[in-house]
Amino acid sequence: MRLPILILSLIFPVFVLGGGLPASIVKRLHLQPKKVYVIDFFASWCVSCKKEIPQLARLNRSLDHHRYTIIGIDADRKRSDGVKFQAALRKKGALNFRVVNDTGNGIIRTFGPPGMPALYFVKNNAIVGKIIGARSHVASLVRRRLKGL
Amino acid sequence: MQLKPSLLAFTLLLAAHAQADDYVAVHYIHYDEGSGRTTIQTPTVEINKDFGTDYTLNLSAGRDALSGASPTWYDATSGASARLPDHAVPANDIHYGNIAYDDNRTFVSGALTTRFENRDALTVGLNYSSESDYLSRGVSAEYLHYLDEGKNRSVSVGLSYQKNSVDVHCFLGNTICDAISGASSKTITKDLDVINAEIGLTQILDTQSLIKASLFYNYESGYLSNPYMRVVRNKTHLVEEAKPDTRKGGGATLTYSRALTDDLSANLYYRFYHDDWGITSHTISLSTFYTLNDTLTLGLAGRYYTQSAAWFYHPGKAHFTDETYASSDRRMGAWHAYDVKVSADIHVSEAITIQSAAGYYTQPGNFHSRYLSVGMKYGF
Amino acid sequence: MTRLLMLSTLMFLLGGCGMIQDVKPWEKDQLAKETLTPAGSDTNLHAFRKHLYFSKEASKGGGGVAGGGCGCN
Repeated sequence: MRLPILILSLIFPVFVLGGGLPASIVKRLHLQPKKVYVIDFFASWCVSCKKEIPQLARLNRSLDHHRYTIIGIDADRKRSDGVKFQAALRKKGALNFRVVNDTGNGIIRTFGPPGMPALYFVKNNAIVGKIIGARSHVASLVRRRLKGL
Repeated sequence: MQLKPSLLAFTLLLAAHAQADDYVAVHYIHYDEGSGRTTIQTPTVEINKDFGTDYTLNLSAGRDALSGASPTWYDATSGASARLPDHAVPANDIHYGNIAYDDNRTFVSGALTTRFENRDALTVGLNYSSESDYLSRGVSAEYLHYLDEGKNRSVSVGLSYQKNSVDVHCFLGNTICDAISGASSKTITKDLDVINAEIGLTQILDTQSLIKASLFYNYESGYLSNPYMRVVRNKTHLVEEAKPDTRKGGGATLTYSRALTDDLSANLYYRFYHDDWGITSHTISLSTFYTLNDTLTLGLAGRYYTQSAAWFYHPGKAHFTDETYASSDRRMGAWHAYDVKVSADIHVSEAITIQSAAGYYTQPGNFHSRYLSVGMKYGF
Repeated sequence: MTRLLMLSTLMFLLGGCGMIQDVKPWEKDQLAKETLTPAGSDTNLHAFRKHLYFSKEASKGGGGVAGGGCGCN
């Protein structure tokens, strides 16, 4: 039973929960080991992602920022598409967390979500949970998960 | 009046609505056939609204205002009228030509898509269409199931049922009214039920292209004739056409869509169709879109269609005698058609797009028509 | 008809053997475009054209199920 997990871990280093994130990702996202991070992967062309972001923004307003941080990863390959998309959301107050533009898709490839939108929970520089695919009440789902971390 | 072969409402399966930004769209279409012989003006309104990530509601409504003429046999001594004479007519007095009509059609439709946690989707739709002598009510359902975790392959199964009512006005002299006493002032309502089933497979081929294949089946049962269409029997008797009261047909489609560059997309479509009336058809179309800049998207589309004739069809006035089924409705004949369309979408702002298009549809030897469409889409 | 159905199926299966790539969820920006459908963004005009074909031609059906499209959501 352990062999497939070992093989998976080799091929997709962070696919398996508990896998440590590569140092390059930790550095690029400025992750601190003591904090819990919600990492939200989205793109301008992903309609469900667009529906979830305002919910995460509302959640972000009530989070204890000493303990929790939401980071958005924009997977748009054309930087201008991502920047335009984020600006429109920020203008409406629907985006209030830090976003990293992953135009080369290096970050999302490392996490390797099987679908979008994708949310990862990271603690001690390791993935400790994930929510893949659209959820109508994503904010309350994230809040519940955070309580257990 | 329903002489128009035109405008029997027939909305097959509602396509599952892809999740899109919320919008309201208003459009106006002007259709002109035979340089003013037939015109249709159609204003429509459509609303698409997502409720969270799991529900999408699409509502649309419109109204056709029709005026024009449609070709059939008539007794020239009594003018270009669809009314049947109750006596034999000398062959020289039987002409093939246009009978005038005008009518309004009102149509509404709604579809609700529900997505489940695995992102499978169920779309349920209702549609209603009404004109002076034709009423249509339909219900449809489609289920979309993803076959792989990456959602690169999916299967869709759709089913629709449509119940139609056709009014036959007895003053036209149709033999269907013969059994009714004092029938000339009456109207007989006939039923027409339509069932359609379709199964489709979608496969993403690479980051730029995808392919869709489908099989479909139609079953129609009831009054399939047009109460205004005439045939000539025994050279001098002008009577209503008689089509079979059931029709089974089906076929296959294949669509290949490809983003050729960041700005240029092409969609190639092929359909094969065959039914038990002996009609076989092939349709091929190509639609391309070019995004010039953030403001302008141009479209160019072409379509070719060819069909064989129904076994009970003949265009002549010296052909039919006492056959059970007979029709000179030229839609049942063998011919081909072309359609060309150009379009321009102008993105005025983040929220507003002006949409315009012009098209030309022709059946060489039968007729040609032009259509223009202008509209506005407001995203919110 | 049978031959064409077989041909369509065969083309599809051949695609399955050689042409299909495993596209990742974040690689679907091109596939998500409205212009990757025959209707483009003007679904109203597309519906009108389908109605025109229905009223002027003897064939019916084949424009129904939409399928999953890009599977981007």
